[in-house]
Amino acid sequence: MTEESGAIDTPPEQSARDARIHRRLDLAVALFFLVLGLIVLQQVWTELPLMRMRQVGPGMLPFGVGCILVAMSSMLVWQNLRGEAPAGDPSIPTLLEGSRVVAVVVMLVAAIGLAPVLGTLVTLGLFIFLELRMVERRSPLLSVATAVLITLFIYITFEALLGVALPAGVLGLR
Amino acid sequence: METLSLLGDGFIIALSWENLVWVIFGTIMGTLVGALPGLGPTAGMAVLLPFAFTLNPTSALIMLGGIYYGAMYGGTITSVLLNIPGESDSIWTALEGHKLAQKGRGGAVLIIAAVMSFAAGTASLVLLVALAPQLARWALSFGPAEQFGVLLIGLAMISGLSSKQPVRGWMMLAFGLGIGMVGLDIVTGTPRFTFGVDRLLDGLDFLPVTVGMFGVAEVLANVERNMRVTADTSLGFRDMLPTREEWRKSRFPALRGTLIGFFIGIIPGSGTTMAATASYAVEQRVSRRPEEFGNGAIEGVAGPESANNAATSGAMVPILSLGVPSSPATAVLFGAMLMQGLRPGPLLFQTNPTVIWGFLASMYVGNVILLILNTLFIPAFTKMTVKAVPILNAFVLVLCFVGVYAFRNSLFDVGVMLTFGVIGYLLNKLSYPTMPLILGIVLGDVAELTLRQSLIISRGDPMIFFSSPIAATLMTVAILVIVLPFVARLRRRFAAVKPTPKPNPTANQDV
Repeated sequence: MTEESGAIDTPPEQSARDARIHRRLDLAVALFFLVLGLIVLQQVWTELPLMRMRQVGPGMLPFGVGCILVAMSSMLVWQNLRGEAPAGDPSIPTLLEGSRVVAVVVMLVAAIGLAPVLGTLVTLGLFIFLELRMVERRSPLLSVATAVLITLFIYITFEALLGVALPAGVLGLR
Repeated sequence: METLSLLGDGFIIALSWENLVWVIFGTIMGTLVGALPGLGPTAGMAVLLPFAFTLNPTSALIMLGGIYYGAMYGGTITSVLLNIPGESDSIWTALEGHKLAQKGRGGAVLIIAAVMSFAAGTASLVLLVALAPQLARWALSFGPAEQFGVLLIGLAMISGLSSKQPVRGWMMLAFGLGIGMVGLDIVTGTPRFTFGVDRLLDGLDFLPVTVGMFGVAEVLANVERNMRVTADTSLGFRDMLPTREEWRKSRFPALRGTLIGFFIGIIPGSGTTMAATASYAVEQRVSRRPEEFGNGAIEGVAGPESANNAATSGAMVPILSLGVPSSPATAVLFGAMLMQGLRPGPLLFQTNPTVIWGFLASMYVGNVILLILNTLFIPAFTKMTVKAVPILNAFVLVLCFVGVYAFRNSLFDVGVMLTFGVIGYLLNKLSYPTMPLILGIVLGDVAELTLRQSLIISRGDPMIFFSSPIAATLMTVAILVIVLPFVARLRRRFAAVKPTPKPNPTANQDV
């Protein structure tokens, strides 16, 4: 069996809140794609000719892509403004669930920034420890042991066997 | 005869010690990936894509293929024993198989599932080997206009079928095509959507985008769910050997499942879940004891398990013979082929026969290995799965990080991977299908090339797409596939808002 942190029986007020947030998020994404489509069409208009020397130019397919994006996202915006429920599961992550995802993304961004400073293996070892300890709430022993073993696995596989030069840190550590 | 001779050569390649190692590695990884909740075959293939890049084309395809069809077997173990479908195509197995496991028949169900999967996998490979080269030979006569027609059908079917709302599918396809267009134009060399950033002149590579969309996005969803396996994993095989009655009941469902799975697998956008679901529905309908379904019917395991295995072979037909991937996993395989310098499609059988026949033969070998793994090592796989879950997220993320970095020694690529991981996670949450997006990225270049070649040949006349009977048929089918989902939706909407008859003002007087 699996246990998941989310509530199993969602109370009606939470369902209504989830549906409202879901609709707003859906509208935001549709608007994002509408703007993206307009940017694509603006690029075609200013930089990418549809025809060049009586042949199809580099702007032809981008023009089609821009038109599809604008048309489809406009339909979604219209549906949303008319109050139609967006497709899919309207369950919105709780604050705790959302914060776990944000924490992992922030840690990965930090790992990209820290790899050339601390060295890739040191950084990834730290990442594994923090992810297991802080996000997944595993025991300190399991977190340290897993961090060491996975880092060792990465070193053996990528550095020793495949010869990949992972970025070294300022102290020369990988 | 020629096909058999080529397949024989393929077996010599597949059975070389080096390729045998990669078949075994791929099938073990596939079984684990299929068994682990929250990590499907597509994510598994995407995560191991950087590894594939370090191998020769044959070994790379053999390994990725092993993961793909191995995952179909792996999903059975946790579905039956723990009631955790590793993938959506295992839900029927979980529904029926776990009920049987609770009655002490878990071991027997797994043996039946493994044997029927093996039979379906092997039989569908015979169909694949018979069909794909013939289709490829026919497709060799295609010019750019016909090729564009085939691609358009594939893209349209996947965009229309991959979501309940075709609008979302088409939006994702356009987004994918847009991502694929970043960089230099393939014909004129004009920079497109680079916004003055030199790094973007090479374009956004398929690998970091795919690893992000499938690997990182899946892990972020798992992190959100915070899944913990707490089941008792003592297997309790009271009777490992299936009874004669269980074998008898499973034969015809497996046969029907094989045929249903193979032919559904060929259809772009259908996937293994649709194959398993169709097989389950058929078995329920033809059964003399439909009341057993939902309470532990062995037919409900044998049929869908055979169907999802056969569907993996069916899905290989369009990619190998026409160059059109029909599922997310085959889209990753398609991208891997491109990365290895291969051009998936009808020419593959002529230009790279050793690669393609070695790959096809390795699928037979892989099925035998999977039968051994899934009958003799079931307890070991179950224990490994349960032990792996707590460290899975961290491990997969680190593997994605280092794998993508190793591809071009670039932390920029790792950043691209993370960006698309977040985008993929959000799109999944809002039910935007990711399949058309990834297909837009991998097929965008080919579709644009064939479109522009056609128009160059015709000096800009679009009627070239209707100039030959084949091209005209393909384009007509493509247009119908594009238009019909929208028409059907509009009809449903009009039917829903049809005005109800006004109440009769005199009605009250009668009461």
